[in-house]
Amino acid sequence: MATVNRRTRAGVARGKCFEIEVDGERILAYEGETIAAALLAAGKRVARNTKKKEPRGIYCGIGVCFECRMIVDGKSNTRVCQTLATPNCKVHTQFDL
Amino acid sequence: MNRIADAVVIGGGAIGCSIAYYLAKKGAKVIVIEKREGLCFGSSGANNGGCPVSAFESPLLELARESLKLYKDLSEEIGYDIEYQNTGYLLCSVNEEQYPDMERNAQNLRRSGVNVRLIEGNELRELEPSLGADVIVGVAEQEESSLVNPFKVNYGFAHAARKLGAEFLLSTEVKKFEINKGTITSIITDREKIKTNFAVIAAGAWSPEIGKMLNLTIPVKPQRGQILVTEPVPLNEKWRFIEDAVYSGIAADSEAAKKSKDPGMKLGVAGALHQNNTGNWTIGSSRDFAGYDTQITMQTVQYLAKRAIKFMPKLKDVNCIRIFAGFRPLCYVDGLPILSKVDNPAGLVIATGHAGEGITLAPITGKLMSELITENRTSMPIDAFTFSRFKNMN
Repeated sequence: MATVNRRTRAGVARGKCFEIEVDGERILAYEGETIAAALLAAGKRVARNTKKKEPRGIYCGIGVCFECRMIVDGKSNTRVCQTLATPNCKVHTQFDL
Repeated sequence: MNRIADAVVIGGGAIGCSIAYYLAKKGAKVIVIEKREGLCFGSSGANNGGCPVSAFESPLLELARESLKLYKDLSEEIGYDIEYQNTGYLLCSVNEEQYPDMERNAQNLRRSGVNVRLIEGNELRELEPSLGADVIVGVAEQEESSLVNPFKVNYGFAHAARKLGAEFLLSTEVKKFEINKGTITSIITDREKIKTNFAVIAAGAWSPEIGKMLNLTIPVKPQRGQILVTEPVPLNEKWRFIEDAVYSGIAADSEAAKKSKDPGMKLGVAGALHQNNTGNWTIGSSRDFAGYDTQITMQTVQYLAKRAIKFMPKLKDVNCIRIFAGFRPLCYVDGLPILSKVDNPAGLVIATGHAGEGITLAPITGKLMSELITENRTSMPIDAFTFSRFKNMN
């Protein structure tokens, strides 16, 4: 389990807490959070690697830029900023072809 | 200004450019006329570049095999990479009833000297784990069938022809033919007059319009096909060129398919899956007649996707990035191409009606037509494709 937790605590009411799996590592997520939010909170910034093997992370956060595409439950090119975390969902860093 | 050429090719698709290249190679001065603003705007730019050998029957089989031999060394010959890949070809069935047909098909092909193997479903899945559980049996051919990049074939032939002195007139439309004593003497376009003794109609699905200028009925009509393109995914291990056993049936008789009770079949949908070396899958194929309308139809697209997932279940998680439609120039009399000289007017050559096999047959068509024009004989028999078989129409 990753120990980093960058969430603010004061004044935020969160839903149920559960774990998701990112490249084999378990991280925390809360109900209503996107996968992107959970990744950032765990200190993970790389979502995918481009054809030229350059890392890319969350950029616009609103589904427009398509930078944060990852493999979610086997589905490649899923924008994690637009995908809600679900208990035990499996997320993988994407290596673009 | 008047131009002079030994031969004028009408149509800048793969067939036209191939003819131009092989003619230029024989030392002829060639002019290619294309009405659109660039090459590869018609069917050559709207297909998936699959060249299967085992999907053919005689007399096309011989041409296809010869054509694929030409493809093998074409990149080197023309100095342009056409992305030729000997991927092999798997024709497979998801319907138990088709088993005897598949057996017969494999037998016939082997008798014609094509090295095919009949493989049962379980063994197929061992070799290619991504095949679906519904796949019952397949006929695999490994040595000849290939994939090419159709755009690059088109541009490659044009590039090589240009280097040998061929001229390309784009955005130029043929308006009229001048005929003297039953022989073509010149072609008048919307820009100028070109003096020539040979005109080649290689305008694919648009050939009938040119034929009309000469009072000839070229029995070709556009048969629409729709193709989905997916995002790139890792390459399949064994087969990247997979087709549905109903493909050839629908191709041979789309009218019968239309009467079928299966709604997908009615739209002429058959699985035709190709993965090119970038990892993108192209998913075909459908067949319908909609004039020259390149609109895609949602219903057909849905059936295409459903059919494809039957053969390759993993495609259900892959995004589609593009869908397009194009026209097969289909000869509605017998489905065979027209590769022929015409008696009246003399000097006219027709090379069209390749239906869905234009890319497969492009090199051999170019070679044979160049022989027909410069030597008045061909190195392979093309009697089955003569224009005089439609003499009751003309």
